[in-house]
Amino acid sequence: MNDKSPIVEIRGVHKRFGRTTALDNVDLQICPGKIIGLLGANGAGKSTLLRHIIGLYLPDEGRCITFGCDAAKLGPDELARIGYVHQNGELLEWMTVGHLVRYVSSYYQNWNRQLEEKYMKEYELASRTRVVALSPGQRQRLAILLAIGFEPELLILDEPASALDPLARAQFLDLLLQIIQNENRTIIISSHILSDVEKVIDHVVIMKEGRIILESGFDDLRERFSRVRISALSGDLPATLPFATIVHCERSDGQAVLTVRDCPRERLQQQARDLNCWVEIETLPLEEIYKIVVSA
Amino acid sequence: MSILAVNLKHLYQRRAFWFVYLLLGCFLFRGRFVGFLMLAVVFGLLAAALPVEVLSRPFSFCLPGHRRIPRQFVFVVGVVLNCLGALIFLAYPGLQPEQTIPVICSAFFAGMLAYLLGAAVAFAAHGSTNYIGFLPLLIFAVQLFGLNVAVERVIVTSPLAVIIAGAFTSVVTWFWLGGDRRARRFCGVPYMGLFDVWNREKLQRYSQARAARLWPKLKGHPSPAVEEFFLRRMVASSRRSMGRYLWGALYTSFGMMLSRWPQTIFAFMVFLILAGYIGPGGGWLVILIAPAALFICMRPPVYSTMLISGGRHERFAVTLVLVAVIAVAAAAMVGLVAALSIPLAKVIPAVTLRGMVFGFQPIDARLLLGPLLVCPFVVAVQLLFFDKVVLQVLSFIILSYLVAAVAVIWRLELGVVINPLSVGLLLLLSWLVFIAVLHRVCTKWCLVRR
Repeated sequence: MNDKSPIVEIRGVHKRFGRTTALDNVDLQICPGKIIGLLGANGAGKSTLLRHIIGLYLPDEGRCITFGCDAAKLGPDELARIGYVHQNGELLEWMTVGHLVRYVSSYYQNWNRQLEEKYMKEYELASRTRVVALSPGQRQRLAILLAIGFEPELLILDEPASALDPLARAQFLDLLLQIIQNENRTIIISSHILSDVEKVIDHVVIMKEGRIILESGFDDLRERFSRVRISALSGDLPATLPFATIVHCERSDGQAVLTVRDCPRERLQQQARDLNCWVEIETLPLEEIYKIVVSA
Repeated sequence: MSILAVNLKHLYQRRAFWFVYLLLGCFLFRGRFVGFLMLAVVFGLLAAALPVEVLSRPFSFCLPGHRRIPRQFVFVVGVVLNCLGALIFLAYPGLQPEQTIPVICSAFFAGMLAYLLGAAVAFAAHGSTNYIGFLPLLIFAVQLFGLNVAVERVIVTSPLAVIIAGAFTSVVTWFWLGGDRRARRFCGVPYMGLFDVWNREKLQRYSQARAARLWPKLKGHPSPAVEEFFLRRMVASSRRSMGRYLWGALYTSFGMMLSRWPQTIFAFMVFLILAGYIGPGGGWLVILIAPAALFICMRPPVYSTMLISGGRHERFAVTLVLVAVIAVAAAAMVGLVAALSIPLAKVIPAVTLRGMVFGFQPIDARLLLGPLLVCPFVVAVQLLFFDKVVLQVLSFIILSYLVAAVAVIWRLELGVVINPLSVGLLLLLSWLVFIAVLHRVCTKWCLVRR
C-alpha cells in the first residue's frame, strides 16, 4: 500500500471504552485511489477505526493522521475533502429532503448539482418529504447522496448498504463503480454484505477483536486461497494429499474437495499431475476467505 | 410459573418501582381518606402501562397466552390494591358499626373506578405515563373545588350507588380489555413505557415516530424566506471562516421557530400572561425553567456524526456562540416580558376563583439575568451527561430547588444577598464552568457517544 504517500496514517492506535478494548495497537496506511473493504464481525472495531480517521474519536494511545493533519485537528479544509456515511444515518429530521440537500450543499463550494439531480431521481427521493418520514432505506440513500454530492477525495462508508433493498444495493454498487473511475478518489467501505463489497474493492482489511488480522490487496488475497476439486484418474486418492496448507477437506469415492491457502495454482496443478489426478481449481468468494481468516 | 405471575414480577423486579411506591406512599399519608383514590388513578395508569409495554414488542404477539394478559394483570393488581386501600375507611370518623361493610365496599368500588380510569388512559393514549405530570394540577383542582370532601361524602352516604357504578364499570372494562383486538393494535407500535424517558435511544425512536405523524401538518416550513435568509448568509461567509458553521447552527436551531412566527408570538403571550399571574415568586420558576426546557429540546452541535458540524475547533466556537445567542435572546425575551407586564398590569383584570384572587402583577426586570445565569449551566450539564438522561434530570431537579430557594430569599426581601457583585460573580462562574466543560469535551472527549 505504499506506492503513493498515504492520505490516512494510523500508528499504534489503542482505544478503550471502560473495560472493553475497541482498538488494540492498530497500524494502517491508506494511499489515494484505493478502494478498501474493512471487514469484521460486529464489535470488531470497524466503526471505531473509521471514527478515528475523521476525528470523532480520539485514541488513548497512538496517532491518526488524515490528509497530513492530526485527525483531532481536522478543520473545514480537510473536512471538505471527506464524505462520511454513518451506519445510523444521523440527519436533521425536521427538514424536508430538499431543505436538507440545500442546507448541506451550502457548506461545499464544489457541490455537484447535476449529480444531485441525477441521484435524487434515481434514488426516488421526493424533495418535499420530511426526513423523519423516510424509510430506513431512503434515509440511507439520502445520507449517501449527501456524502458524495461534493465529490470528496476520501469517502468513508460505514455500513452504507445495510438498510437498502437488493435493487437499491445494485444501484449503490453502480454508483460506487462510477465514483471509483476517478483515480484519485479513496473509498473505505465497511460492510457485512461481502458479496457486494468484493465487486468494488481492491484492498481488504480484516479486523477481529480490535486488531487488524489481515491486510492485503484483494487480488493477492484471492490468489492465496483456492478451492481444489481433485479426482483420481485410476484407483483411489492417496490417504495424505501433498498440498501445502489444507484448510478444509471433504473426501468421497476417489474425489476430494479441498480449500487450500498459500499454494500457487501452477504448483497445485503440478502436484495433481504427479498424483495422476484430474484437478479443477476455483477462486474462493470473499465471504469464504473471510470465514477462513477470521476463524483461523 | 404462569404468564400472569411472570408479568406480576415486574412490580417488584423493576427497582424504579420501589421509588414510585415510596413517593406514592408519602402522597397517600399526606392525603385525606380520598387520597387513596388519587393513588388508585396513578397506579391504574402505571399498572396498565406495564402490560401495554410488553404488548408493544412485536414478539409478544406470538407468545402463547400473552395477548389476554393485560386484562388479568390490570384486574388482579386493581383488586388487591383497592382491597387494601378501602381499609383506610375503617378509621373514618363517626362511622357506625352497621355502616362499616357497605362503606368499605363502597370505597373499594370507588377505588376501582379511579383505578380503571387510570388504566383506560394507559390503553387509550400512547406515551400515557407522561400524563402523570398532570397529577399536581389534578390535586390542585380537587382541593380548589373541594372535590375531596364531596367524594368522601358520596362514598359514605351513598354506598349503594357507588357500588353499582363501580361494579358496572368493572364489568364493562373486563369485556373491553378482552380479545385480541387490543394486542393487535399495540403490536410493534412505538410505546413509551414507564421510565423509558431515561432510555435516550427509545425516546429518540418514539419522538421520530411521533414527529413523522405530525410533520405533514407543517407543510411549507421552514418558509422559503427563512431558508433563503440563513443559506445566503452561510454562502456569503468565507469557507475558512466560522461564519458558515455559525449561520448553519443558527438555522438548524431557530429556523423552524422563526418560520412559524405566529405560533411563536402566541406562545410568548401565553408565557407572559402566565408569568404575570403567577407573580414575582412563581415568575422566577417560569422564567428560569423556560430556557432550561429549551435546551433539553435542543441538541448541541458538539455531538454529531455529521461532518457539516465542522471539526472540533469549529464545534467549540459554534456551540459557545450559539449558547451566548440563546442566553441573550432569552434574557431579551424576559426583559420584554417585564417591560410589557407594567402596562398590562393596569389593563388585565384579576381573576377570582372560589374566593382566591389571582392578580396580574408586573414582572421584575432584574429577572432577565436568570437566563444568562441558567443557560450555560444547563448546556454544561447536557454536554457532561449527554447519554445519561437520569443524571441530566437529577441536575435539573437540583437546579429547580436552587431556583426555589432563591425565590424564597426574594420573597423574604433578603435582596441584600442578591446584589450586583454576587450576581456578577455568579454569571462569571457559570460561564467559566460552561466554557471549561465545552473545551474539555471538544478537545478530549469522543464526539459520538457509544
